[in-house]
Amino acid sequence: MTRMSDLPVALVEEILFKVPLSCLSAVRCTCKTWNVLSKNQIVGKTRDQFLGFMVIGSRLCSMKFQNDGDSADLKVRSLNEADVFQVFHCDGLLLCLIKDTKWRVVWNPYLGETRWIQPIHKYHRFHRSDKYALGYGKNSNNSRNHKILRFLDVREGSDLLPFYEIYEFDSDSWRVLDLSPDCYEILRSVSLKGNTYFLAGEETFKGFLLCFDFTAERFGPRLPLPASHPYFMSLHAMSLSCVRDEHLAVLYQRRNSMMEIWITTDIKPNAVSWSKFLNVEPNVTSPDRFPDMFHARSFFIDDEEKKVAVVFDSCGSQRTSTSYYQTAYIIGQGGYLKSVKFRGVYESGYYNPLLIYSYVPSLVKLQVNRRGKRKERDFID
Amino acid sequence: MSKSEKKIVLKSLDNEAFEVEKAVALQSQTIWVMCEDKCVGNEIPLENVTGQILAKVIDYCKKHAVVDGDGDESSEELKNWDTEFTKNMDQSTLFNMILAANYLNIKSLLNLTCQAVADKTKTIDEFHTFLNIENNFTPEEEAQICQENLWAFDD
Repeated sequence: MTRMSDLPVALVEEILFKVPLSCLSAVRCTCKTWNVLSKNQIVGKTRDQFLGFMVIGSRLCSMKFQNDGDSADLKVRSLNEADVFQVFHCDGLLLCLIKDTKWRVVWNPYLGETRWIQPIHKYHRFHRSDKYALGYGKNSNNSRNHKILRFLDVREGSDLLPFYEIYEFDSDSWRVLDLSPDCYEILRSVSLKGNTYFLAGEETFKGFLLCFDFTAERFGPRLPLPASHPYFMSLHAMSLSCVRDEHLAVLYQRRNSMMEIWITTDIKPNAVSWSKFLNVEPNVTSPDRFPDMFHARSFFIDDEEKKVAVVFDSCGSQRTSTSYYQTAYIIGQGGYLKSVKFRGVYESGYYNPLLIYSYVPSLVKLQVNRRGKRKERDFID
Repeated sequence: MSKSEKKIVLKSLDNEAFEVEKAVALQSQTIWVMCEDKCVGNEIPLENVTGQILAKVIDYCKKHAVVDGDGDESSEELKNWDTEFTKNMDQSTLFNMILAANYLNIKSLLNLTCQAVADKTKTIDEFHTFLNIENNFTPEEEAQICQENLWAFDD
């Protein structure tokens, strides 16, 4: 007995599932049986996945982060030629906003499937100021019905009227919703356990969270942000992240190098409680420091136990004679700060590192569209 | 309990006999069920495992058994011991250990040996050589799959 193929299938699977997700390509290229096997069950699910996705400029990129304390390595890989300006994640699916106003695309990287989605009707083209959320509701048999919420913010777009629409993956169709969220403005969001939590505010800039419940298809009550939230602080100085699919985290930036990260201890569409995760204060002894105009734009929590997070700023890339580098900052307890450079993707102008971390693959099928066959291949190639 | 009741004899495929503490052997669910059923005497024939492999399985079980207060090994120590245990096993031994762990139903040993195989294989070439699998893709198909899975990186 020396051949893997002589092992019973159950044992081959047992081994395959212990291979890290970053070996996916190798597993699939090994032989046809494994390629099929890896599409029916998830390879690499037993290990911590240090994989994520981000948008830099107008490129969708995947990101791998490894940190063993002494050395940290951050790799970013540009994935497509299509102009993606924003990305949302839920349940292993990525909703990609592309510049083409006739289409939106949802991608399941693990299965390599895409679905191209048209607007509710052809006169209601997708617009750059539209807002989106990706989530899922529970059907009566407890299966997941994935949905997209598209809306125009209450106060935005002076020549356009506010609207709320929802797209259902099961029926492949849009419906109009009658909603009136209890807020003045709605900012960025993050999806957690199928629902989407928005950072929202009053006219006085007072901030709170609003949950869009994808099963009930409505917004929940205002949920408090962590207690120490400075009243004067602009909502734009806050960013959201999620920790696995279990907790929400919020980062406040007070000044250049003063930040606080809070994490939920419990979160539901109608209730939330918080605890302080990390305090970031200037540390004169640290060899690394934040740049002068540092603006924490997005972050992820790398190690919940050791309290380590990684923050990206909104500054552009640094150019050397041969390549472009961008910098992320690893922060931890006791003023720990370490910068990590990564070979960036050159984009002139807007740098917008929208992050999705701890991507966990899913087997959610997107089936090929009836009418949306167009461009099926050229999203990732 | 008399001394003889605490001991049990395991007999391998090639008729090698191993006398071990019952607490050591009972980590195997298969042996546990056999003992419960009282369908065997003090000697348990294991028809799927050779003496060479059974000796290693017993080594593992002895280390992991909690016998009369001997089980105070720290989890860190055990983890290091596990790493050393599988480190120098060749592929044939590893596969036979996986089969034995599966047959004897020792979940932790199955996990350990499967993880050892998974850790030793990272690249396509390693999958082919270490696991002795033939590639039945054309170079074009292989390139296509690599392209589709670019996002997941490769180690």
